[in-house]
Amino acid sequence: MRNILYLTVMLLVLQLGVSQAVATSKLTHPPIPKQDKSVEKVAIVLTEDFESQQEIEKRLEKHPEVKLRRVFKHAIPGYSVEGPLQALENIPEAKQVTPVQSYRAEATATNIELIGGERVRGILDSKGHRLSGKGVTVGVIDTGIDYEHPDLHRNFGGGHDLVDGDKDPMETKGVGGSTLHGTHVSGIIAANGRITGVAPDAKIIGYRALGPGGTGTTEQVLAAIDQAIEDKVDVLNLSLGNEINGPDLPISLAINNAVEKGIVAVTSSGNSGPNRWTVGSPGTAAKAISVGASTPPLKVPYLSVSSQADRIKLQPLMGSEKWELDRSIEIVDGGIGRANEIKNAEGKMVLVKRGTLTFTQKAKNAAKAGAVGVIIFNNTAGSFIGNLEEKLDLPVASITLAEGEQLRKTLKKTQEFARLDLVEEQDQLADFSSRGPVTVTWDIKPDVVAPGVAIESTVPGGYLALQGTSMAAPHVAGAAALIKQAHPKWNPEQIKAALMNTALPIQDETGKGYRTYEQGAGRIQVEEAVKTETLVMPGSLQFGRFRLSDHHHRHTTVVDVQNHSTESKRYSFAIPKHEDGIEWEMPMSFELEAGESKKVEISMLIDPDVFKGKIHDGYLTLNEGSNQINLPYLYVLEEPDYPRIMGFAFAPADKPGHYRYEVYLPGGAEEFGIALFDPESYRFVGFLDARRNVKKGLLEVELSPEEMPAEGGYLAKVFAKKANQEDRIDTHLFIFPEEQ
Amino acid sequence: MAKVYVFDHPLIQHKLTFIRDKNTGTKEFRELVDEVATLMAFEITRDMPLEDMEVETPVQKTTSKVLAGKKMGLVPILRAGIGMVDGILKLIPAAKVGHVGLYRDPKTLMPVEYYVKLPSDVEERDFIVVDPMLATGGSAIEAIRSLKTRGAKHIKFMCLIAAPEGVEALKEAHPDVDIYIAALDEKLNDHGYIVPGLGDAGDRLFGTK
Repeated sequence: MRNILYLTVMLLVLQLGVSQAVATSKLTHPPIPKQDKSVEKVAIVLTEDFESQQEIEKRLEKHPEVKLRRVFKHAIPGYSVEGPLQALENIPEAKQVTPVQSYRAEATATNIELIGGERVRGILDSKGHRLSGKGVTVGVIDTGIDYEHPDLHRNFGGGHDLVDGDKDPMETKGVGGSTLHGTHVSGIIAANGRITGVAPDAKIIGYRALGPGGTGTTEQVLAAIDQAIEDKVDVLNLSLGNEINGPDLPISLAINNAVEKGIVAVTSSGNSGPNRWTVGSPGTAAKAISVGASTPPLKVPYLSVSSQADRIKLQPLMGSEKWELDRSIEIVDGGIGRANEIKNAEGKMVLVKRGTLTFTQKAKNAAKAGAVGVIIFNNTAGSFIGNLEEKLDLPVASITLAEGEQLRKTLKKTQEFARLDLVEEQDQLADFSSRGPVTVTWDIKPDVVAPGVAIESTVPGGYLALQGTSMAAPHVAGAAALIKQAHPKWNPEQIKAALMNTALPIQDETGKGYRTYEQGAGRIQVEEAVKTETLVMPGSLQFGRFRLSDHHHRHTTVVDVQNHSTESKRYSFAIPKHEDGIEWEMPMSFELEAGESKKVEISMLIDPDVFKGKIHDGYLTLNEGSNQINLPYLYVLEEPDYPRIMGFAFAPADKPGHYRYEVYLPGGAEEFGIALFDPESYRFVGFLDARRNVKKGLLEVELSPEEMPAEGGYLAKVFAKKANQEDRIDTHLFIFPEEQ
Repeated sequence: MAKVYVFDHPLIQHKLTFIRDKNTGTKEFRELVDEVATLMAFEITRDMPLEDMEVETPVQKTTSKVLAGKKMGLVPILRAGIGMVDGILKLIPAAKVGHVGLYRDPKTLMPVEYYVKLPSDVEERDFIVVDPMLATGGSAIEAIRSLKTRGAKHIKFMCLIAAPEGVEALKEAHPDVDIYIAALDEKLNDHGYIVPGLGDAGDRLFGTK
């Protein structure tokens, strides 16, 4: 008996010992503090299954400090809560707790013609109606909608206000914080009046999820998606975003769920270009159609001067009069643009340098001197886009520093005349359009691009031209509505494939094609999408990634090829251009009967010793008669994993009570922090320091006595997070009592 | 009677040489102390109790040894002792850390406590008291006395280098405390420094001099 008792005690101790070891190695810290504490206090809790309000309330009874805000019924299994951060972390049965992010609204005639929105009207649906979006409902999750606008009131089909909690989705009005974004987006989709949208007979349901100033939270957007699923809309437009590039935020999850329920979800990719990895949530949601922005046909003014061979591209300032000078005009140097510097400018163009005065002041001075145009050259390298604060009746544009200095040099020596050429540029990717790929999943995003520069549409009280991927997404939402009308039985995946399969890959001004992770399948072509008889799903091929340390790799992906015509079709793959280190495997050709579909395996074999490219992408072409389907593909060579954090040291500083620490961040960090835990209970005590977006290299910080916690020893977890990898150093710190 | 163990493992001896070197900078000094502390922890845990456990290998069932789950406590003497904590925790992550801080009263020249905090379950734990230096033994004797008055029963003392004078004093004051040393040096000089020693470990760890 005694023996057994002894054994039991030992086992108990053993378990304790083990669990302690686990506890130290798994100390978790809460998310590092945000600038805006009020937002931080609301969190989205993801659960395994959908639960009733009563079940959740019962569960939260033990946490009186946590207040239940909203239960989601369709969008995600989960709910939102409010309370002190620490309590939120301890909610039972939570699969994942995410603090809410803030979302922003990202701020038509020729553009619709370009994508084929006009030509489509000649096509009839099965009931004999012209394609105009008739019978299709499009939900717009945005800042609201001015449903009293004469171009919109006819198609407005009601809505919800998830900010104020009522059924009136009117835009925010009044001084400061008034919005117009949702009205603009709605107009691109379905304006029907002075302006015509892409689908002028579609019904618009407005969901106001972004409040004053065009900002909202994860919770409001989730609630809007939840409501839209309940309302059974056909298409959902989300021209909003944040800058987190990751696949699995609750909103991305909710959008994927909406698509599963038969809704075509269209998102803007974001306005954080032109660098890689800039695509943000929800543009990262795998099943959504993520849309980047292209320029519609624009007449871009170029300046030809006799002393220079190359033309100078003028960048008109926002609010500038149009550049339409039709004869050679003399240019004079106007210094920095002060009134006394601009002389003999009557009927001439004035060249001024950027700086000291506002653009408007410079232009006004030039106008007073009788100038007919103003060219402002930059005072730092590169070009810039400026804004005029008031309407002036002469055109104003900017050029680069190098171009300006060259021109000024010439003007010092000789008289110079310039001629203006208007060059049509179309279908280029907008600089600001966010680029992919998506981290972790290595998906190609955006999926397609659509016009998003200088888009004229409806706003409360009138019309306005705006730019942004926010303006690009509704073109695709409108296009999806037209396809839905033409093919009511197609599911969201098929509609997405139709848009992607028929998109036109576009090139930059030098004729070089954009990368697949910049433009996806290309710029949409609505007529081709409606008429296509073949669908290939998914519309882009994702081969994932491989590590340098591995050897021969075969990555396989399967596409579903569907023949929707009434006759048999023969398909053949074009062999991709040969590249060392890559081999392709796929059936060279195959035939599909009318209505038949076939799963086709496509394999990519990589020899990483030969193939050194970091991101490999291109288009695989499937030919059917004279039709071509371009399938963008992407293959990523993983960067060797490097530690995110190294060499932490902490010590008292020279001044009494002050401490300093240093730490090395080899690649910089999106999030960095020193989390302190009680050494006895392992309870989280607080952050000694927390920072966002720390640049790479050595971080040296001195902390004053006010920033220090109470005297004593602490377990410290020093962590740095970068590109979805968090590394940490576990250490032990001691804060000395003051007497010492 | 207390036992004195001197760890003459080549890796420890090698690293200790560079710890002594006055040209070794703060960062390297800190890393070396950390590494030697880990190596010493390996030696000091040699007598940890084991017990049987049944496991099934891919081939058959067998009985094998696991740690008997002894609760450990680690108490650095402030401030230089802190430099050895992380190194020891690498091997004994479940050890709870306490602290003892002492200063010398300028009048009586006796060590006085200014900070003591120990894990709440003092009586159940086996403690290792650490300080890089054992010179006169005054701090170590007083620190261990603090632990004992709070109920600690099993205590070991561990340091990098020690003077024979300090070892003798500690043995006499606490005959139940075994002493673990990486190197036993020649003597104390007139200023109370260990010769040849390594200087002031606290200053070199924290870069305060």
